[in-house]
Amino acid sequence: MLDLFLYETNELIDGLEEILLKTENTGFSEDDINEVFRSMHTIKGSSGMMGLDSISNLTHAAEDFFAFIRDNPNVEIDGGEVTDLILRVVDFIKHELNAMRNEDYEQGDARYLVEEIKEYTESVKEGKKQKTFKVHIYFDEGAQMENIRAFGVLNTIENMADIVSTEPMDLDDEKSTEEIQANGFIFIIKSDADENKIKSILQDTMFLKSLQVTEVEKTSRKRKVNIDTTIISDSARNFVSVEVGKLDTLLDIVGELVIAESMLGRTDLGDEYEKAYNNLQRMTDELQNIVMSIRMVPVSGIFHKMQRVVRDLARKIGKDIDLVIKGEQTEVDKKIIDNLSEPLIHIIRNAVDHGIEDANERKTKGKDASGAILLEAYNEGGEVVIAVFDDGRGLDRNRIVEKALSLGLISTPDIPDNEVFNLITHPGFSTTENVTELSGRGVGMDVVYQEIKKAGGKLAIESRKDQGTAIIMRFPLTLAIIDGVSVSVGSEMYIIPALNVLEIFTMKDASLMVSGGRRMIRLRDELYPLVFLGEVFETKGYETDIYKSQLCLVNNDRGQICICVDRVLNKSKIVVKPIPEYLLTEFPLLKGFSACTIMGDGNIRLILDVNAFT
Amino acid sequence: MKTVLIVDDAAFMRLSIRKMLEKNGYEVVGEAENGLVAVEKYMELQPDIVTMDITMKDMNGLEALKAIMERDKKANIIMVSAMGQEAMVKDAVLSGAKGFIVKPFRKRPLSRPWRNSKVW
Repeated sequence: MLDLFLYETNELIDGLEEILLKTENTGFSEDDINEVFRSMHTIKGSSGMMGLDSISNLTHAAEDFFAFIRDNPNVEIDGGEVTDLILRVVDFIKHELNAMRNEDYEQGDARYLVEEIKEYTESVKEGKKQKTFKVHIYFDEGAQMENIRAFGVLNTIENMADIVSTEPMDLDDEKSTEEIQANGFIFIIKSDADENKIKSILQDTMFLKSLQVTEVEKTSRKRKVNIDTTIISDSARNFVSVEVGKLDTLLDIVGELVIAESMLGRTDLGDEYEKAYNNLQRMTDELQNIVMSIRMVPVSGIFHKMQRVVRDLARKIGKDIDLVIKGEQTEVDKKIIDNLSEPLIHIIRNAVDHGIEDANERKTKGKDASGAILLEAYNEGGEVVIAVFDDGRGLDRNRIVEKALSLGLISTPDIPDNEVFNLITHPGFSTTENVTELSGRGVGMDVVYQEIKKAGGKLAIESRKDQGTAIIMRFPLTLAIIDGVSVSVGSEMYIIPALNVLEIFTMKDASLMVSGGRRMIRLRDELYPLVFLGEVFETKGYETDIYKSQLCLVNNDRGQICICVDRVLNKSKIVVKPIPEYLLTEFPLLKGFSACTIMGDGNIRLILDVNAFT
Repeated sequence: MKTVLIVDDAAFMRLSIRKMLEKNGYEVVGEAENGLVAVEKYMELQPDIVTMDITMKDMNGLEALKAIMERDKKANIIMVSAMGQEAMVKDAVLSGAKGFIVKPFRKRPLSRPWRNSKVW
């Protein structure tokens, strides 16, 4: 009962959020208003049934508001304001839905928000119109305690305007003092007073060096982003919605399996045995495919969340940024999706906060005043690529190199761009001194990198000065079943993920050399470090003569290496199982493996962790 | 010429503030060494501006500010704070102080703080 309520309400809430974010740009169409009205109405009804008064009251107030604008199509409303207000309703409900899972759940207090909606409804009815202003203040040098001065300014303006946001955000933090000294104090207000009135009031501020009040026009909306409704919100996490067609196929396969089983059960099969066996094999393949496809969910749900992330942060810091979404129907394993949210939010916040310049800076560079972020997903060679591009200032190569040198991460500034940019994934690396609260302090891309690695992905960073930055993540299509290349080493057999194997060759095509005290394989004029698998794992009876062995060219996080094995056997589908934790502590050599699998003959084989080798 | 009442428990501070104000064209009409005297003198002298020290015996600056604001909502009171008194200053701003200066005064301390204002 609760599960169903949560699931259904979550879906409605996600739908609502989507409409609100869309309409903020385009204005409410009649359909939108009806849709929002219906959703509010449904949530009101079902939460009432569940005895959830606060949600019920809240949605009731929102329903009233939308009923009013539905019945009075000519009334003027500010899309941005409505979105702000109703998104807070959405947030409140989301928060409640998450909290409901706990046994000691108590309803949150929505009275304040209810009042606000009622007031807003009244003000719309009266036709009051508020304008938005951006105020930029500099204090005299040596004025001191700038954060408290900023606080005083807000206190002065408070009774005639609503304060939307401030930069810096947290005036209680002493660090804000330096920020105000350097960049001034910026805040956004909404007021029905005019520019001059606001100026004349702020003019009396002590130690005021300069004051700038500008009306913020409603941002022009050029691009419209359409996203299909999908699942996924935190409390709906363990559900996957499945296309009915897929379930039908699943049922068909199970039906055929039953027939295949009864065929094989016959004792008088004779020549027909092979046919029946092949049939069964085909069924299991199909079964595997369909189950895998059910595990796959489109990235649209998580992409859609980013719309909100960009919007909230951009508004807060007074930037105008368009998020363009491409390929949101691209499907990824559910398990990867679950781990993708956090790093993606981090990357997007970085782009909004540090990547994209403010409007003035952009203008002087000859760029469009509003910034753009492209969030894209597509399939490429058995992998899913998820990439975030921004058209901001790009990474500062010199500062990264400087910092890396001082941290001792590199010994010479003369390294290629891609390696420079990858340095920012190093733990504790951050070149931003004024890290804002939202982007986190001191932790940055290293956390993103770890999270992506945990989800089985890879990360690449590209950047051009004043043109932008691209963060490109690659994930395997699925984590549970992969193609593996079996290799033999002495008495053992190991598996290398097929995705990593670029080439298999013998010493006939290559030569051995030593460079920097290390054995290297020279293949077509390229040098690759050599890893003797038998040596590394101390395997009994491995082939020590490299000229009798086979070599695999394998790519990993850091580049390409040559792995020397006795024989490469075959390629097959394998089911990936984790290595039990206690075994890892017992046998340190197991650290060279990422997982294990159980073969058709019942034997366990270890899967090589190609990133463990350099 | 704008009239000023200086409130500070240290005679040295009162003197340096007086000198700075006079140099910049203000008329100092009175001085008070604690909050109680300040409220009394404010009512008596009705100055345009008050500079108010925060830490004082017999009614501190914050209490004096509140007492004066209660009697005259339009009073222009400027707090004189030391570094580290952020919380007190915040409280003062919320209670109606028009601004504050921080001691020890850095260069050009009271010369230009309210140059654009009609009030000052």
